[in-house]
Amino acid sequence: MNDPYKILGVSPDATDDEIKTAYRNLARKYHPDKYRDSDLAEMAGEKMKEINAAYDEIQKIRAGKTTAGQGTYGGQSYGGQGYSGQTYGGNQYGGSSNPYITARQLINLRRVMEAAQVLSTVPEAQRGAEWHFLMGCVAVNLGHFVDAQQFFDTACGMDPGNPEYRDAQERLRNRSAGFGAGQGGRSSSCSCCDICTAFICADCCCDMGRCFC
Amino acid sequence: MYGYVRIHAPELKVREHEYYRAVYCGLCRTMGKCTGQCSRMTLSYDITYFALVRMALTGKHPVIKARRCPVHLLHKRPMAEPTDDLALCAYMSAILAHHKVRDDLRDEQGMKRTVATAVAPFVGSFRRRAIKKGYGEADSAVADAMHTLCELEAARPPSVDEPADLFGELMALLLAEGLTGNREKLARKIGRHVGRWIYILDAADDFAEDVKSQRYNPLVCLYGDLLTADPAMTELPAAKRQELRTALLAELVELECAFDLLDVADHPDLSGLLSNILYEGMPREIDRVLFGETGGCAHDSENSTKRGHRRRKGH
Repeated sequence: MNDPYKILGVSPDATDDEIKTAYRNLARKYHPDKYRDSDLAEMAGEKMKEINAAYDEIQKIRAGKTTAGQGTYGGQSYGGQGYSGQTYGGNQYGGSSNPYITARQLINLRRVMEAAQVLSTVPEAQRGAEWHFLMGCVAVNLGHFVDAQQFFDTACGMDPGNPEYRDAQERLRNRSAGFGAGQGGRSSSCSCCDICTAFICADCCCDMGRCFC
Repeated sequence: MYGYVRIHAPELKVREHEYYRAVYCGLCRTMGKCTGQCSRMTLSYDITYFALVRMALTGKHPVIKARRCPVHLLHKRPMAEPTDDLALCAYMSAILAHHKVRDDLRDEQGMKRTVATAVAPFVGSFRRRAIKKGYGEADSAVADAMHTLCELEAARPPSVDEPADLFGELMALLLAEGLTGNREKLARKIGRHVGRWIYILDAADDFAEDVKSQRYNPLVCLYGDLLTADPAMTELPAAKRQELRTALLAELVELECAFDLLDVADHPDLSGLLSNILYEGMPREIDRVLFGETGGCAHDSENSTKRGHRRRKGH
């Protein structure tokens, strides 16, 4: 195995606090939530595993060196194994007769092109708020952010009271709102709070479901 | 290329800036060697950025030497010695220039057409040299991609994302040339999102001009309803600018994800440059194009006064 200190980017003489901070920064950088909608999720998962292993290794080394009951803390590593590759279990594609339900299932399974196809079968006259919302979800998954905003705006315009649509619209806007906040103080303009982390935390708590749906 | 992917010099360290200039000059020199002296005219910030990304992807960093160049005869300046990555970018630039000129010859009228006719034989020769060096495959791939893009543009779909995707794929293809495994994956991701970003930003930049001259612009097609509703509209409405800003920043978020996985820690200057471009240069360019904010120091002072106002208001 590679030098665990090198993986965390700290010197072997670093204090426990420094290591913890370095670990937290890296864990935030490669956090699976950040890569949730990304095709790089697998690579980020690998990286996360490597960091977790390095952190655990350092904990072990340090625990061995210090006398019992001193200096060790129960620093839990972020999530351990469960992070590489996400499971979308329980969302089996059932082939419902309702195109919206089918499209939702397909989007959850990441089969967005098929979802788009299902949605395109809905006659133009029947395309309501939900249609636009689901098309927006498809667009987000394809990385079509201009189209996605238009679809969500239309969905919200047609059904202003729907929290799901409003939520998706907000999330898309927030996606870029925290851009650049987590990059270690190089920039003079983003010094106050770590918007990115706040966003990730908020995201964890609310668990707004998988890819908007 | 267009020159939207820029550094934000005031935030750079001096040695990072020097490294950038060395790569810029080195790429220019490599172009002279690989595709002929005239091809140096096709040098742009975008292609320099591609060279930087390629270096980060392959992990091969060029040697830097002090050399003279024909434009700056008096002083020697630091220049990156030619590497495979720089050569690839030189050939890429030549191939793209050729296909761009061919497009112009087909679509444009007036002055632009005259210019295209005049430079066509030159860019043709750059491209021939690129093909001779074994970039024939890349050339035909670019030709295919350009052809698909032209066909889509001719159909004038009411979308900017569709043609932007094609342009992104084209960039992905060039950037991933010769790479395998995870590096290829990252190269494709970066190429795709930089390509999309450039395409959408360019469309926004040309909006007013294209509305006036009734030329193809994906955003004119996308916002066609608005234009029919208000024929007097010559610029992008504020709400749409904001929408585009969100979309363009979302591309940068995707880029950030890719760069976080790209390990450039062994070269602090390169990693500093790439972060500067991503976190400072590109967002500023979005604001410059969409909201007409001037770049450089003027922007800074304006920004700081704005921030000052806000602070005062807060108290």
